Amino acid sequence: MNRGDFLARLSARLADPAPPAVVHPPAPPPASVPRVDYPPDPRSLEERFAAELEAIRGRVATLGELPALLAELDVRTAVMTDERIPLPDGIERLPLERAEEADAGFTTARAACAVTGTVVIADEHRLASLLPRVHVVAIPRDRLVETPGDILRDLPSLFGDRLPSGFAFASGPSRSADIAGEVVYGVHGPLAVIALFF
Amino acid sequence: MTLRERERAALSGDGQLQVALRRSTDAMSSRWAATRAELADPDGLREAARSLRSAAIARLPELLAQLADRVQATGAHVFFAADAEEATSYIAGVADGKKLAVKSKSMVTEEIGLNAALAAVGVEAVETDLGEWVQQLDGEPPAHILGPAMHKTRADWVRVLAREGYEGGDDPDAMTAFARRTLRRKFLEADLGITGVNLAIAETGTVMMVTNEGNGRLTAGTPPVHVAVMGMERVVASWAEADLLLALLSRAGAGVSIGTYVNFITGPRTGCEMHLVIVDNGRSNILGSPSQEALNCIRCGACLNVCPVYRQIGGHAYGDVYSGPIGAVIVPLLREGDPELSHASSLCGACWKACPVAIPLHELLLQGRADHAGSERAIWRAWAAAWSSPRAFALSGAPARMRPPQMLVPPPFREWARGRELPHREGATFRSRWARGEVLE
Repeated sequence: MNRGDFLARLSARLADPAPPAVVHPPAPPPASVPRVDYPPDPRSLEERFAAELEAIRGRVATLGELPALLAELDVRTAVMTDERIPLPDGIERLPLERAEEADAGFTTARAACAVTGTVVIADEHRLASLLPRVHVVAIPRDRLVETPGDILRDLPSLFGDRLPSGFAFASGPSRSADIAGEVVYGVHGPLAVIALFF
Repeated sequence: MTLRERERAALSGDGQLQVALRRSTDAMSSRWAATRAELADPDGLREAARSLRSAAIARLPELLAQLADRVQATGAHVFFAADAEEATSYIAGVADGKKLAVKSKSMVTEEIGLNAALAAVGVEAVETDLGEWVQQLDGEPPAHILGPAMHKTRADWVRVLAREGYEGGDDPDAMTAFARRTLRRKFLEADLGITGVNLAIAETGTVMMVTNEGNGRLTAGTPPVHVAVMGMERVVASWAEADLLLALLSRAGAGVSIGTYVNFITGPRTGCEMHLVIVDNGRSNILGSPSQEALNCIRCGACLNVCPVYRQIGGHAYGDVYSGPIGAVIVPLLREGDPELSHASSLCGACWKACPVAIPLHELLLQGRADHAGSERAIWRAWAAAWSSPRAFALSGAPARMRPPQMLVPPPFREWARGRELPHREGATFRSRWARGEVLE
């Protein structure tokens, strides 16, 4: 149906509404959308981020800990969309077109938020963050904020005037509880997420 | 089958369905309770969300126009589909000449029967959510908004996956690895990716999709053509509203503070194509009706998880894509579906309490019953008239005194009489003792 007719039909329905069935209709909307606030927490943002990420089966690591962690996960090959984290010895770098074959993907995050253990992945890092079974992500400390709302309400500071065609929030490894209610990881994304602050 | 027959069928099995339902719904509803406590003012946020959703629906034409303008400005195509047939024809047109489509969770594409329409033009559409995939392989529709295969045991999963070449045991990790490998090939080979939309943000023409598995990003971001399908009511004005609803949707539905992957898509990728299909398909019947608030729904599934009826009979017994309390409200309204569905309720109100946008579903169910009362109305009126007269009241007691067996109860009341017993009467009635002038001490 063409747009004009489609919308005209909706307007006609709204022009003469029936009284609502509910006993207490909703209040008029607030002047501004309330922020999603969390209770105060004495820990630093980095500590909170680490705790949240660990609760969803990811972890924060230091550069020194990275080689051992990757060895434990049997990572032999990697793709990188950012050079910030040096590739540990013994891991072969593959070109980005071979992200599907790599064991790990090294990317940076555009930003992160602490209360949900979330990193913001811009589109150019998408395949490297999603196809391999291990995601190693570098988070700039000055881009760590408290809540998702702090990011979503201030997108111009991340992306300037024009939004990119895609960006994503990623919080921990890929998971599902579809198989008889049991939680499994690494369904269509990484099994393991390792974050480093710099 | 009638609703009653489907309910009986669901209850007459070996009890495994109920065990599975209880396990999944308990897990989800207890996590909603726990994650609710993470927020500083959860009920204040629910009420604000209720008001904001209602305000958005009240200006739906304006918001959809803004959304369409912004989406088109990004270079994507927008199609307004009045009904299922228009939507599927358009998408089949986009898919013309293609072989393989991958799909990521979308209730509305189930509603419009998209997979069958694509198959009719030679396009194979593969579901990529683990649960949706196994349901597709097994030829069954989804059983729950968030957990489409929640009724299946591990043995069921092995049975279905074995037909696809799975050779392992009932270990969920092994099955997951098999699914990952098999579906990964599909993502990389697909010509077309079809997704749903959790929310469309009118301010910037952005489509927001949430998954826990990662298949949303792969479906939208790997094939060269992306089709996003949305129910027309899923539009919000601003990013601030999207933030609020995302916080509520994740907690109420999956019981997590945020879905693992939240994708924000604003227009096609360079060199690629994107289409947004906005579907009415009966939603305009609900606009301007007494049940308009049902359009506030953000399809989280929380009401299913707490409903005493859903928890006994599961999703398939509702006979439609949408089940649970929200299904019982909207299905009769969207397409004059089974009006009996509003009776699949004890009116306990648990759905309303669980709803993240505070929709009074129990009141809408009552409205649904009133909408379809029909001949029942005459019976209620007759009863009211009878008991308004002392003589008629006295006469109506006579059959009850005889305590007729169930078989003799006439059909409209027989169902109601099942499982109920008339009390025994001892001695004379109060009325006759009063008439005799007995003083009751």
